[in-house]
Amino acid sequence: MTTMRRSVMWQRVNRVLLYTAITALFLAVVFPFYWMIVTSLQPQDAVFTVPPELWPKHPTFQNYIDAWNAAPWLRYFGNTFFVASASTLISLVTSSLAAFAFATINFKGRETLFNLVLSVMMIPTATTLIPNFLIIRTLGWFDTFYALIIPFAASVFGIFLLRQYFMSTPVELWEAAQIDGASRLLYFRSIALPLAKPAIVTIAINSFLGSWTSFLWPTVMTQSQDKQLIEVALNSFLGEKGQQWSQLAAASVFTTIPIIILFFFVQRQFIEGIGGGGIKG
Amino acid sequence: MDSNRTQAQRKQAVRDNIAGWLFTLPSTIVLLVFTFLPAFIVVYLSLFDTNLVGQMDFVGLANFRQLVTSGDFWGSVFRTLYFTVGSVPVAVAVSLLIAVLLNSKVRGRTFWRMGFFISYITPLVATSIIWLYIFNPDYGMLNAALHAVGLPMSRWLTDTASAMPALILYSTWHDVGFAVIIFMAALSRVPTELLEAAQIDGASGWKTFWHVTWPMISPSTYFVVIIYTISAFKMFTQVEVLTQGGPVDATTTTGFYLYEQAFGQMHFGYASAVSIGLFVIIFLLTMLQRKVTGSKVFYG
Amino acid sequence: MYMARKVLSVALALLVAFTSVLAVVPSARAESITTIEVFIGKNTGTVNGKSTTLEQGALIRNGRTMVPLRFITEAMGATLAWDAATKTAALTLADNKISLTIDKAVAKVNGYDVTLDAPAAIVNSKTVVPLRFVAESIGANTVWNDAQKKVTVTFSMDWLKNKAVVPFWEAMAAALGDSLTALTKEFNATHPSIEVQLVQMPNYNTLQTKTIGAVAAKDPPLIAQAYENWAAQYATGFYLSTFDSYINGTNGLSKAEIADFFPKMWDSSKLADGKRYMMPFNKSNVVMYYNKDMFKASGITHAPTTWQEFADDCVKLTKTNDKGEQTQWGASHTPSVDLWYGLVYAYGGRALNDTYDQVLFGNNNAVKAVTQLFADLYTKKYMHYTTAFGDQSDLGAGKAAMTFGSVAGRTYYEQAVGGKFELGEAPLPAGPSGQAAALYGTNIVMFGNAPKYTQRQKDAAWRYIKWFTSPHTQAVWAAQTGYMPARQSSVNDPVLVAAYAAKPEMRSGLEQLSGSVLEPPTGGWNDARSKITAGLQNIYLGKVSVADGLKKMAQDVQAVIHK
Repeated sequence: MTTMRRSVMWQRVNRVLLYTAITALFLAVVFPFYWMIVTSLQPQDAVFTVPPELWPKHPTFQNYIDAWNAAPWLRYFGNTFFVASASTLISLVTSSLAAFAFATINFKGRETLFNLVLSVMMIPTATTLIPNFLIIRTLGWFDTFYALIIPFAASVFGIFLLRQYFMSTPVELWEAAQIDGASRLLYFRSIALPLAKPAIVTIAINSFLGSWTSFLWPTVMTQSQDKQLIEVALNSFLGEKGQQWSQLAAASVFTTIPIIILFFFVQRQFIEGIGGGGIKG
Repeated sequence: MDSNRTQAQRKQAVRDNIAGWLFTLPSTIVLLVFTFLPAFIVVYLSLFDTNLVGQMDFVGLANFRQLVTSGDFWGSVFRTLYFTVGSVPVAVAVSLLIAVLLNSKVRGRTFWRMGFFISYITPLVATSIIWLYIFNPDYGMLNAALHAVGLPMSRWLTDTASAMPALILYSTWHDVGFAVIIFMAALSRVPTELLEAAQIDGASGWKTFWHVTWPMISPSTYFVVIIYTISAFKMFTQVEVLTQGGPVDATTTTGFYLYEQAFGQMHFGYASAVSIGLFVIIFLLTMLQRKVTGSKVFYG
Repeated sequence: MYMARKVLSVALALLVAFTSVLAVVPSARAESITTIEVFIGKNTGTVNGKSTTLEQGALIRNGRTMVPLRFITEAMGATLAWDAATKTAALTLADNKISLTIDKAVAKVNGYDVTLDAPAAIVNSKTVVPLRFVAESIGANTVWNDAQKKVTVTFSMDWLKNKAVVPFWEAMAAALGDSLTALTKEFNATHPSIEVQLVQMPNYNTLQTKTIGAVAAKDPPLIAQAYENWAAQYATGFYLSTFDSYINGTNGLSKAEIADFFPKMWDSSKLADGKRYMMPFNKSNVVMYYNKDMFKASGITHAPTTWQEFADDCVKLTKTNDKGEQTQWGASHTPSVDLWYGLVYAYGGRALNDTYDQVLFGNNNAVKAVTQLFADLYTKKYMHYTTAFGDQSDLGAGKAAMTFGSVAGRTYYEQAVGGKFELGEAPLPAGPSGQAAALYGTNIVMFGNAPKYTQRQKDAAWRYIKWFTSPHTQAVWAAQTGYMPARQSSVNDPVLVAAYAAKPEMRSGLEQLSGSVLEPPTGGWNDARSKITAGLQNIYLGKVSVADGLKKMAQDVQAVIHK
């Protein structure tokens, strides 16, 4: 009887401890976001109060208006959305085609080519920045959207992942399709691709996020304001505003929101995609 | 052999060859032009003293001599390793703790998981900006909090000694969600029978974790360590936004050093040599990591 | 090289074929150009080669060529309206309108006032107008031929539609940017065949890396702001052009005009090789800003005039509360190469030799004294160590009494202060060898050798630069931004007279100009600056002793300047 009660009590203490620990960690991770919002609502003078106000005494939306009017943000969002969508779409097409070939077509040099493609992973992008700059310049693509899209029009990760999917598609399906007179492309489009949907979603999210948050590449490859992507633009805004934290926080909030909204829509697939990546790794 | 093949089979083989190459062509061209070709060009450029316009003086291996003998490059490598060693174990420990906590029967798991993950998907520049304010030595939240609880304050990003720890703190905060997800997935795959068996044998929670769970999730740990180390060497954005490599050169990691030499100083030849140095180091590290971690990984 | 190129081009050709995207180049259209020639003292001229009679011969007044209003209006195909009551002539061509009043020095172009050296006048009962002003305000070009005493005006309606575009990369943010934008808008409106396009970078750092990137990409802007050492760096590529041909050209600068530039600024626009790659644009130097209320509260009556006095004031202005926590610093300052460099001179030392390839400060008493002064103030917390523009926040938040900043920083400091207390500005204190501040602020450079730019664009860029560095524009610029005017006569311009009368302290920069020192105009100095910054940071943070720190700094700097 007493041992039972003790163990029940012990369990309760445990649960309290567990939730306390989780909540504490959670708050630590989420606090900067809270702070971003609070700061964005502070009048400029209030951000230099010591100690800082945990809750804005005189909240104002003026920072959002000022920050929004300080730069053509809509244009930057448009650019970023265009570049991210285009490179995602193109890389999905190229990598699914290649993966399909690597998985199902028995062509000469397949193994060599596949190993070659895989070896690309060994070359970190940071080390090819300078020659790529030269290549982009030679192509006449400096300061164009091509420079931001075409180099990302192939994805080794995408080829690898999709190849796994296509390889696990039963051979019988292809044989049946052939009997029905389907061409290879038709089979690819109507049978193989739909089966690989989870992989496609994962690749798409990765590629989209990658472009959306890209920074070094667009910094180097573009220069004019009307080609700027959101992260580069935000860094410029920081360079201009220096220590005007409230306006900077406001800009950080409105440049982050689209990505968080997107995340809410795809979070399950995305998180599962990453979790699944762990096994393959 | 050949005579055994029918006309149709041969035709099919030709068609397969054409189809195979056509299907892989788009990807191959992009990878050739933007990854393989650059790898050769960078070697070529590293032999010159060049600003890419006008000046193009062949200097042989002089850039590499400078690379090896000057302290700047090795300093940047050391700082990158400092960042890696400082951030990866912490990230692994914290994310594993979070994952283990969430893996016990917690209510609202999806909510917690999303909260822990959200920093990972938010853009680096936007979050760096708020951390810049948090780290501000005079008006920032972090020092205010330390002061409130009576702990010593720091100059964080503005002191050579504390800038790297601050950078590590930010990066760990930003990236920890990734490992949480990996570990949660890994933990959910540990068979419950194994854990129950261990408990019946009277093993404590800690012992069960150490002897059963930890080996079972080791492939994921390995994966996380590799991903984090590689991203440490590529790290650029947060350095540019938070410190621009400073103060002095306290946060000039190799990735940043390369950029600075090329686009800050117009030393494109030398920066190409740095690229090659960086490549060699990443290559060696990957090999080393494979060797060290490889033997302990549990392949269930 | 050849092989690599070949491989590259084949691969690229494939890629282009694969993506099949190429920009379509618009074909150039033929321009129909009107040419008008007039000769001083003659009443015959030519229009498109055909001889014409002028009702009154061309004459020179106050150095300007004057021609009959009716002649130039008809020759250019403009329409003319005469208001007899006000004696005002209004010329209209396309969308552009010019009005001149007899004997009035101020004319109007598209709504903007333009001051004339020679106003419209009546000569022999004929109205004559300044030819260059009228022609250029309507979008034409004028060329003076001294041997033949001839002015040639060329004009095409096409130039009004296809303006000569001048991309100008600059880093003038906030109030400085507003002023530059307004002035450039005025230039564009009063020069209808030219369009200067401002491309604003958020700060100098970005401007430099973006320009380097653009030069390396073979796609530089036509003109850009640049420090002397940046220009030296850019000059290693082959795009940067010198201004000599423009200065000495037909629309150049007279000896008197050149002499009107402040000699320090004019001299700073040459590189070490003696070539004039730059024109002074926004010149400044470092001054002191301080909180007058705090000075009063501490019983200090005036801004420090010597560095010793500054150090003493720092101690007086440092305050702690009853808990022993520091609440106020004497000064707040982000370690700066410029301030340090000037101070070395003020203490009678030199950082580099005259050819800028030898470090002189490894073991130099003046350098040691200067560095020691600041190191002591920092480590004893009389001066607060900040980064970037943290000193502005400190001054604004009432946490520091003094700071140092560019004369053009005034609008920023005013904004940070926000009227909470009285802001003071003063010349830098003096050292044992007098007062010295590094001349700061950038020049304008032209990437005139970049093949993408036409001669018409380059001429347009020069016209803009000439206009911007003219006395009146410089006066407006100085009054709005706090920069020092590049021209000595700007100080007498009513606009600047009024501005200095309202805020006499704005003169601080000019007051210390004669003692200002120029930083080395070499590419190596760019590298050296980052080494010095690093060295000073280490010393000021107390990581290393002054002697050791300077020794290390000297080695680092020597390694980058000898190249």
